[in-house]
Amino acid sequence: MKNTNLRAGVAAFALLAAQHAFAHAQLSSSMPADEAVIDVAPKEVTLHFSEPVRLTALTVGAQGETPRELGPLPGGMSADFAVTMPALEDGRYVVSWRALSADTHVLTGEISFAVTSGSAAAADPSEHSPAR
Amino acid sequence: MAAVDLFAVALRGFGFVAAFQAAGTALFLSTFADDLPRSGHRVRALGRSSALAAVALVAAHQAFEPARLLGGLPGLFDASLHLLLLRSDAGTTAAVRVLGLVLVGFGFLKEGRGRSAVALIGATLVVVSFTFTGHTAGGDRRWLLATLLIVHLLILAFWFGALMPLYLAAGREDLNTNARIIERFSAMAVRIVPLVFVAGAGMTAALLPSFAALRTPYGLLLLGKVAAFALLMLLASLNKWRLGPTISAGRGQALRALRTSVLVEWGLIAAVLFGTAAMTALFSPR
Repeated sequence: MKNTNLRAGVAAFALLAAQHAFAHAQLSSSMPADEAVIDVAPKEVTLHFSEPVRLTALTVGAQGETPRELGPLPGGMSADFAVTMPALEDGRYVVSWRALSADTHVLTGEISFAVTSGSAAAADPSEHSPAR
Repeated sequence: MAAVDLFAVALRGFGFVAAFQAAGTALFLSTFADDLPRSGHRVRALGRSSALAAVALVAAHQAFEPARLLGGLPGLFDASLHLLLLRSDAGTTAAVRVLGLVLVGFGFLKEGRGRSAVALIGATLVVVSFTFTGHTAGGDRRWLLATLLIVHLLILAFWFGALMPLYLAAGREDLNTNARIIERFSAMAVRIVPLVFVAGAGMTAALLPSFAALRTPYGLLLLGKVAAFALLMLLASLNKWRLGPTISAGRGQALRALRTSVLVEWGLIAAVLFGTAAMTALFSPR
């Protein structure tokens, strides 16, 4: 009897473990990619999530400076976002984002990238996004 | 990690402790109310104040979440984010938990079987509210995970909620009453507390994608919970096999040792609840 219970328990455990694990949304990819070194400043930042989220905050900032808010951000749920960037000088930058997942988790993340020489002229200053 | 995240986790952690204390006190009193002639009113007062504190903390956490969503305090004044959260599963969770806590508090206003039943319904709602959001709330095995979570949390609430009443009883009830309570509580705990681990292991098997995930922050916090559980089982065994018989033998000094042991157990479980608040708010199983 004891062995039967044990076997049933192990079988149930294996069944649970064998199926796909559930996890809430996460950032699948971005442009610029994390730790990217690029020679042309990006005109926009794109974020691709594993499932739809509501993007609630997005900032970009050079190290040691106050981050600038990017926007306007879309109001609905989506897995893909493309938001205009301000003109960036050469340097290292961090894009920080916050989002609400469908299961109401607050998600946070950062993307670091570096812009190398010659990039400042590539960005169109007219596309500068005002702070939200 | 931003200050808003740490503050939100702290609110969530204190909210968990207060909610489980309130719900657990109701569960404990549903079984042991007749065994507490001198300390019953203090235990009910504990249940009332815990429920009140938990309502305030749930409301504060719900009100603070927009600041987390925006990454700063201006989020507190963003009506659209408040509305977004109220209309989401997080809003449903908070509403059901507050309703449960109000019922628990109402049930403890006066003594009586009817009031006790109301508190018990409230405690069940508090526990069930945890299934509306979080890692167990999605996917195609939602009902299985929700069932495991309810079993896990009901037993945890009973265990955690019993500790402060046991502490109060050890200071106010006579030796015979304490011996009877400890004997009954230990007999119940031996049967049901292992289910906390079994249900937790079932959820872990379903949520973690691989053993390697145990090296992530989520996995490490999970291992911390398992270590705390092992330590708690050691303390519970000490209470059952050493302190219980000493109290039964009429040695009053054992009550002081029991109070200390119960306080340590309470602190450990509170730490586990804070760890869970951080684990579920900040990290993902994968």
